[in-house]
Amino acid sequence: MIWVTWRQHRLEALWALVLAGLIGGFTAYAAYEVWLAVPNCPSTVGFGFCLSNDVFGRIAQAIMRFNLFQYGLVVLPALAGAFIGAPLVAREIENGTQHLAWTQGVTRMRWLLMKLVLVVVPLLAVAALIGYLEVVLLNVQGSRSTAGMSSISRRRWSPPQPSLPWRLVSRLAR
Amino acid sequence: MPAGKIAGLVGPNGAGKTTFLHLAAGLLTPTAGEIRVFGRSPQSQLLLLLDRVGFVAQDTPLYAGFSVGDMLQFGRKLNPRWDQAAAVERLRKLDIPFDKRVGQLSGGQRSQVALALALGKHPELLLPDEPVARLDPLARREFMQRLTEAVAEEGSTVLLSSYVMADLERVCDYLIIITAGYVQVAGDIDGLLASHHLLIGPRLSRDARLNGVELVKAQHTERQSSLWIRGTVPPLGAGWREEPLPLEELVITYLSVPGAGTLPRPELEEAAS
Repeated sequence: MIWVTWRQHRLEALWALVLAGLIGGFTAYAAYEVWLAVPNCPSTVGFGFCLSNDVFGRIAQAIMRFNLFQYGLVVLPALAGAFIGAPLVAREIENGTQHLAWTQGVTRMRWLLMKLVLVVVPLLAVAALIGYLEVVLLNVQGSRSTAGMSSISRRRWSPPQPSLPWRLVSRLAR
Repeated sequence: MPAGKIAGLVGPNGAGKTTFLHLAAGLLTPTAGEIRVFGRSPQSQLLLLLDRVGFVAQDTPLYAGFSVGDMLQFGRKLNPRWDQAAAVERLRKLDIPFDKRVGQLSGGQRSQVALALALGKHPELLLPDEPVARLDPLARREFMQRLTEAVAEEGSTVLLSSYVMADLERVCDYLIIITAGYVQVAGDIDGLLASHHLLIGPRLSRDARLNGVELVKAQHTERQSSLWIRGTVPPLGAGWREEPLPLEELVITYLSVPGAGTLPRPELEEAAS
């Protein structure tokens, strides 16, 4: 049953992983950049100014400005429901293959249970991971005002530093 | 159902052939009455039933995205009694490519894959539901031939539904006619053919009495009367003759008179149990 479910849903699994990877990557990356920028960011300046101005900094700025990370929680569940959840049983019935599936040596209840467990549990795990990354990002973003204010009294505001990926890339290029 | 025989289930569209097969395969529960497969109600021990019954659904549904090899793997993973070697051998003999997607197979090949999938678990009862309805005459014959070969090897019982009499006549030993949800005729095909006769003679008056003859259907034109009778042919009067009554005609006769019917008498075995 595990093999059968994998064989039937492997394409969907690939798509879900690609999309979740993109959204999760965006979120984690933006959180990291904001976290780097926060200590030298005065509360009067939007944190967007503190993000560095190179390619990677701009990507992070774009992610923050267009709230790309939020799509993870809003769009992905809807996509998963429409393209994975709904066809789970409906597609079988549409093609008449439920009569094939339900007359093998596995009862209908077990068939449904295995499908639900094997498809829904990994989806929930991915959703939970993305949700966690967003909480991290929002926390970092939320700490900006207090951290920024305390840093202003402690040290002078310094102009934005190049972002870490940019530093890595430029070092490799040298 | 006589064990070890190939039985044909015929009836007009909507008569309940598919419903009956679904009941036997445990896909449906009866709303009234009961059905027993291997002496048990299918729903009570579904898993036990599923291991011993091979069902080929109408239009032989298969996963179009699966390759033929995947389809066999599907059977192997889901059936504890699966015989991979036999299934592979069966399809290899038919030159069906294992790496081709099921969706790209011809209708005939597809139905052979569905049959191999149902036969892979060595079913004691095989239930193909109109397996050849969408096939061309050559593929039909090929399918039926493979089916009879397989059944002869395995010794399983088959209940096959179809509305094409020619398919059934060639392979079946036993015939069940159902109309509007009721069994109208059930019996050995040889027995049915031997006991039914078509007599044609001069026109009888509508209320003529026929002594010692069991009448299935009577049809009168201005000049002659046709009588479809069951039982032994009585001594024929002047002007009467007996016409051959092939199986297809016999079935159509019964279907045209839904009230008429003949069921086998309970056998001693059954009566004792």
